[in-house]
Amino acid sequence: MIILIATLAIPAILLPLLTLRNRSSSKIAPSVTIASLLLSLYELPFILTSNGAGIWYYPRNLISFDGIALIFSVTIIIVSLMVTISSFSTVASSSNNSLYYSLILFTTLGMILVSSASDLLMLLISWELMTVPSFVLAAFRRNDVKASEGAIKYFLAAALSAALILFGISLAYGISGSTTFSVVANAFANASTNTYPIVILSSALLASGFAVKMALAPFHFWLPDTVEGSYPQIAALLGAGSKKAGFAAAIRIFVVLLLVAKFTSFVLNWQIALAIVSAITITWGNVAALTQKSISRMLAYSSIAQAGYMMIGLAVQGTAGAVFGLIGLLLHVLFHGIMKGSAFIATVNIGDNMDDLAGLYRRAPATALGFTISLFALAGLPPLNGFWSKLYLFLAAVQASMPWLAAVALANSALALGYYSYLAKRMYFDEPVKKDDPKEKREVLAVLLFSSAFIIITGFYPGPLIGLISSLASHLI
Amino acid sequence: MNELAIFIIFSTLFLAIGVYGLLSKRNAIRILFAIEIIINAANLNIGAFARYMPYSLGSAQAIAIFVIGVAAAEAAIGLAIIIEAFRLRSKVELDEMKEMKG
Repeated sequence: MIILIATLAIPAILLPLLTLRNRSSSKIAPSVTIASLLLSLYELPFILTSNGAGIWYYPRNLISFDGIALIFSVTIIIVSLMVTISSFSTVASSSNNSLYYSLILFTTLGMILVSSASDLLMLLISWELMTVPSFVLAAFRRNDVKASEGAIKYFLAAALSAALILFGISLAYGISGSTTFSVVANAFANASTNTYPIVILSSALLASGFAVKMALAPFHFWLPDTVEGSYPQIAALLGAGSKKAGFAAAIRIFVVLLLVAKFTSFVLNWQIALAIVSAITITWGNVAALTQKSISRMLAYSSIAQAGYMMIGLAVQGTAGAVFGLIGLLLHVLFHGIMKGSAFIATVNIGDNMDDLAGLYRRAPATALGFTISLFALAGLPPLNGFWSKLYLFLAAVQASMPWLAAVALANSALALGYYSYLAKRMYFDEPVKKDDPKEKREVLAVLLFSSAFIIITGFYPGPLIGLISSLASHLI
Repeated sequence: MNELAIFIIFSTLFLAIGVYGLLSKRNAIRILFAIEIIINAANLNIGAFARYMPYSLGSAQAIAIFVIGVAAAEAAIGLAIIIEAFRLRSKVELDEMKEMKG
């Protein structure tokens, strides 16, 4: 784990020094970043095998790198790689582009630490390591009114989430006298009637703090504005990458903490509460996406709806559908990270306006094809990979005897397919509004090629991946 | 009522004040202050727990110092973003920010 941290942190610390040199460093910084991300991707399986899955090891139980952390880390690093590669020419003109890549590395490291933390204080510190660089990335487009507005909204939402998590942590510390997950879980399990209110307040504050980052229904307001204002690549990082870290933290809390703690002993049915949040988020996200005029806002709302689908995996924990729910959740984290990332990155070539889409197939065929594949994967059309993860989630909802949740999710999938097909129809059948052909950036095409290949291959042959994930997930349940 | 309960009630009151400030104020700086109130209420909690419970004082101090450092870093970045926005539009009222709707 130390080696992984060093692989990401040392380049991140050293890259800003490049700005001291007056010569243009536009080639060095991205290559160093890509090398460091690839190296850390290569190191991940060794960390898992050298420590064994699910073993608490690091000094004072700060980090445990288990199967869940592995899936999240792979997703996060792949999304960061896609973001880095597609940013080549977008930030090349900026004088401090090495800072941009350094911040990407910092936030990637923060997300990996969030997904593997096993201590509440460690979780808080890595949470800040994840969010603070991403404020700067969201505001990176200086002199842009929309970017600064989106960055302020993102900052206030994220600072609120950190403050709520911190208050929850302080109460959990007071009850257990420790910040280690397992000790806190034991203390929660053995809480007396006097401390019930504090336990419930603490869990509620932690849950709503994570929900802000996950962009669940009442707390989702920041995502569309931030995504519209910032670079599409940063939108991919926020909408596809750092949202997942919120889910990693929530899995730790709801699966490890609350399940071990026999939280069901309270007269509080948290499964139903999470299921209702999930249904509201799916519906709100999809209905709001229908009315959007801008592509990135539509993708942002669809990302909110997808977070609702992932919530199904959390809501079924502790019931008969727990195994299918966790497999579906982990699959959807990996698949959604890649397909949403590529959809956002495709808008680098397309532009943000719906009119830019008209006749795109004739003006920029490769981008149009890649964008269409990502959209249909997001909709969950059968031969593509989004179908399998959603299938697992829906089956989990049925097994957990929440068929109404599966029905809501299914109806929303049909709705989502409606607006994705509308985008595809504009690309393939409408007459071009703009006559000029957009320049298709090669680095974006490379990312789209990779993600389309991934979507199609894992769509036709999901077996090995599902087998791997279910063996990793079985350590938890 | 024991003294620890007074501290917890006090800090929960601060949490309520902070949440009220978040919901009712429209100025970005005021919202930042509301968030800082919540963070400091949590720190007060940690201090009180360390004093009144038979646990090691050291770990509580470590947590509190980490929290102060992290909150300062966050506020520094946030103020930079707010200053940048002020430079562009000479206002930091959130309801005046109507570039984007939805």
